[in-house]
Amino acid sequence: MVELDLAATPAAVGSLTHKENLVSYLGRLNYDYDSKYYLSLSARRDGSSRFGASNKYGNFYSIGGSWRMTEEAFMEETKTWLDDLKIRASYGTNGAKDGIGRYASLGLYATGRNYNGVPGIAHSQLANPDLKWEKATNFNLGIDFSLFGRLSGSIDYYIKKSVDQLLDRPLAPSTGLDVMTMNIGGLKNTGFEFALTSVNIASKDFTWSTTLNLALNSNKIFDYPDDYTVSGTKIWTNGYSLYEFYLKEWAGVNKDNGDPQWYVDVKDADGNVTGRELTNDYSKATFYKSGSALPKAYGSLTNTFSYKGFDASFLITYSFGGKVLDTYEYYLMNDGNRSGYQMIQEALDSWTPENPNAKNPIFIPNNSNNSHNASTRFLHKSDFIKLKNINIGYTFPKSLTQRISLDELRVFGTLDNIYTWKLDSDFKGWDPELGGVSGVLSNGGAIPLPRTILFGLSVNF
Amino acid sequence: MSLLLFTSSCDTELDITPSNEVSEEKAYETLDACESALAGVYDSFTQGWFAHYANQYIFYMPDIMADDAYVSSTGNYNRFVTAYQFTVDPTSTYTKDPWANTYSIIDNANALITGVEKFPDSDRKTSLLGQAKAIRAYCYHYLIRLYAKPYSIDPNAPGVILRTVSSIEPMPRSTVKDAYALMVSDLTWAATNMKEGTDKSYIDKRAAEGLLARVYLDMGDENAITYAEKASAGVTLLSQELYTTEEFSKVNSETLWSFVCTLDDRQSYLSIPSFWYYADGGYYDADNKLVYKNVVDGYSSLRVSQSLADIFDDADVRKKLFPKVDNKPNEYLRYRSGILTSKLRHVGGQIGIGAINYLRASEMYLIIAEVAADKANYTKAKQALNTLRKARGLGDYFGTDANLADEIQQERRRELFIEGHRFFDIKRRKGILSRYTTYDATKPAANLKEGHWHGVYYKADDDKMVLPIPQDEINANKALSSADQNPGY
Repeated sequence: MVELDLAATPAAVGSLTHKENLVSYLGRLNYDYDSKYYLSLSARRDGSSRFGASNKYGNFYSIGGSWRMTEEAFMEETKTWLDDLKIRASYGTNGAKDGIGRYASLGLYATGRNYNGVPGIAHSQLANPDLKWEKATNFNLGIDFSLFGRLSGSIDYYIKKSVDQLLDRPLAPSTGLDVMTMNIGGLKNTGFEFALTSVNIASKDFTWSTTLNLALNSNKIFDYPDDYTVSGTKIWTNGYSLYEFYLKEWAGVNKDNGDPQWYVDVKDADGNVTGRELTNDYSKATFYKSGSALPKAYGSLTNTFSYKGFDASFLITYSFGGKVLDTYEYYLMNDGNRSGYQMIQEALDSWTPENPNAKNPIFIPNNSNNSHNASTRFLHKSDFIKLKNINIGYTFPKSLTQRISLDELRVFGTLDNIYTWKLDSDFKGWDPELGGVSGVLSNGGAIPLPRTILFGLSVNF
Repeated sequence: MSLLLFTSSCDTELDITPSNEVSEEKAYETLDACESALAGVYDSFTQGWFAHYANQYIFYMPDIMADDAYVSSTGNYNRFVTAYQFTVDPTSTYTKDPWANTYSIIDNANALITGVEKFPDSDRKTSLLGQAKAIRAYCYHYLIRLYAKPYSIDPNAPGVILRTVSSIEPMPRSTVKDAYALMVSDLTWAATNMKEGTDKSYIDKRAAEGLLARVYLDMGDENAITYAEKASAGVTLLSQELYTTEEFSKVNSETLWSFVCTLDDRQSYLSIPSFWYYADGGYYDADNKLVYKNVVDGYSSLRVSQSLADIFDDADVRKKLFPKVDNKPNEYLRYRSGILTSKLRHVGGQIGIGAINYLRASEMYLIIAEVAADKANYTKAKQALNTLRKARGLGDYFGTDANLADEIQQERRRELFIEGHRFFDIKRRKGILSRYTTYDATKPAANLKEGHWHGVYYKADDDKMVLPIPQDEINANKALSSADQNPGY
């Protein structure tokens, strides 16, 4: 092995090479008849170096068809109002390997673990020779339509099932290792996607059109081999989303003494849960499934205007139904548990005998009641509506621009990330979307997106 | 109609190994490779996933979770605070990290033992095997004393997960007794089969004997005396002149096992001395401002209580480890309001360089004295105790035999402070952990020992004297359920 990473002295130099191979065989057959009937078939065989010795290859195929109904003879009468109507359906499989390490199936020892001048190696990964392609089965049914020359759009219904999901399964810390990449369980995404474009006004000088996109999605784990696995702030278990939160449940402030409160299950003699009660001891509180980070409905709304040479478009994006855990609040609302850390204004509303209905527990310097620890106290709705982009431009008349041999000259200005309406008033951060897919706002990526203004010139010649 | 068909002529080159990592098959292919794995085992003491390295948990927690040392109430970078306050729960950093980091060392040791066992017997093999077993025992010794009740109170109490092979199989907790049986077996093998080495940065026969003496001490077994005598035979204790210098933080005459940090391979601000040491001395300048001498900056967030500094006689060379302000013999040198100790130092004024003595011969005499006194062999006990006392500038012990056991514990405080013993000593001796000069349960903030800002008063068998099993372990280890959690959490 010749990389510099392995050397013990000097320790401050390193080098390494990454390598990965993918071998693919693929074929596709497309057929269309009379511009009315379309059929498409494909098959492929992929082998990736990432997987275990006997599982490098996976076979995938798909079949799809569509029918342009408006071309049919029996649709002749509808041609006055129905410009286009196409029904399509497809079914196929594909493989996924992204997101796992290049060498995820191997048992490995990291180098650079030197001691006293001797180059050292230490266990970094356990072998998983069974690691193989994650297989997804996608079924899609859709309609594309166009009416009155003004209204067009498509509606899609899909069922996407992934089996042998590639997940980093947390290992018990007593194994000395953190996680192991494995194929575990399945994930099913079902939903609808709507896209609708309406040309509202189309006169000689002025047009206005609106496009609405809406996605509704449901995400559920199935075939998971264990009862459940806890991964960070999430739980993986059958019937629930891959991003289902698993947290202690905040029960508010005790009005008599300002103590923080959480819920704890009450169990009978056989261990069955009979109810719940309150506790002010964080370590006794029970963990509960607390909702999925993924939104139930999301999409965008675009309005485009043009008048003579001017054009303007406004983009709004939205999301409803998801949750976000703001881990910044562990520090900013710490009630004294992290003495010396900066806090925010909302922390001033803390319990005192004169303010018994305060939102926050009693503030004690060098507090040790753990009221700042992870719980649903810091879990909020991530619902938002964002004015994401405004683009205004002016295209100079061709008569002018052609004098200087330019086909098109457009001057424009763009404004991005203009404003976010956060719909949960308890969310204290800048932007719930910064929590990402996993819905956790933490040290890494919570810098809000800057509002940007861009001016530009677009030239075609 | 169209038909597309692609084929790739590239044949299978799908077996790729990373350029900077070694595959399992090659890691123990030759004895040279095993030596690399051994270096990795040692290096794992200074490798951590979160804020701290394993050696910080091993060396700081037992002292700041006790009465003689504490975490500064300000300027502590929020490190070790919840451990000091005993407010950890199963999800705390200071519950999970000591466990996870130490088990990482154990896993590497286990893999090395399995990997090296297949070789034909030889001196090299014995050395590798002995070191791996000794380090495994050392790690389990830390874990069992932190996460379980002490042997002296209940050997049948639930212990830790006793892994002896690198594996992810679910595994339940065994008992405290089981852990001690494994440690005795591992260390006895090492002590019997290994040879004495010249390089004390690696464990050798002597170091294994010393570690075995420590384990037998917890069990109150007379073998502790046998092995402590073997480990210290012929070893010269550090002289009084050198004891209070940076020689203490190097491989010195009484080193049995040391962890060496060099310019190229050190933990800098996260090194062991960095959290304690700030300056050798100080004086007041013309404007009456305290000026520190020989500052080597670091976190310097851990302090010792004056209640410890006060138990040293003036003749005791160790008293000099609590620097005083120049010309003010009654004023201890303070930084961030707490008393400094110059015991653990950076060598050559460069942060993080030096060696941490994981095992010193002085401790052997204290082990001999403690076990002998418990067995009423007072002559032997006093002989061992006095050997140490003499080396530190004190006269012989002249108290009664009945008070000898207590005096030995005081001597342990004087000799071994901030070396990772106090919390475990209190548990083993069934003592009381008290941060109070006088304890009044109705006034938890009153009468705290100097420097302390969070009072605790626990008996040795209190639930709080045992850390909780990390929640991550209970979640991911299918052989455990929440019923396996330590009481009180």
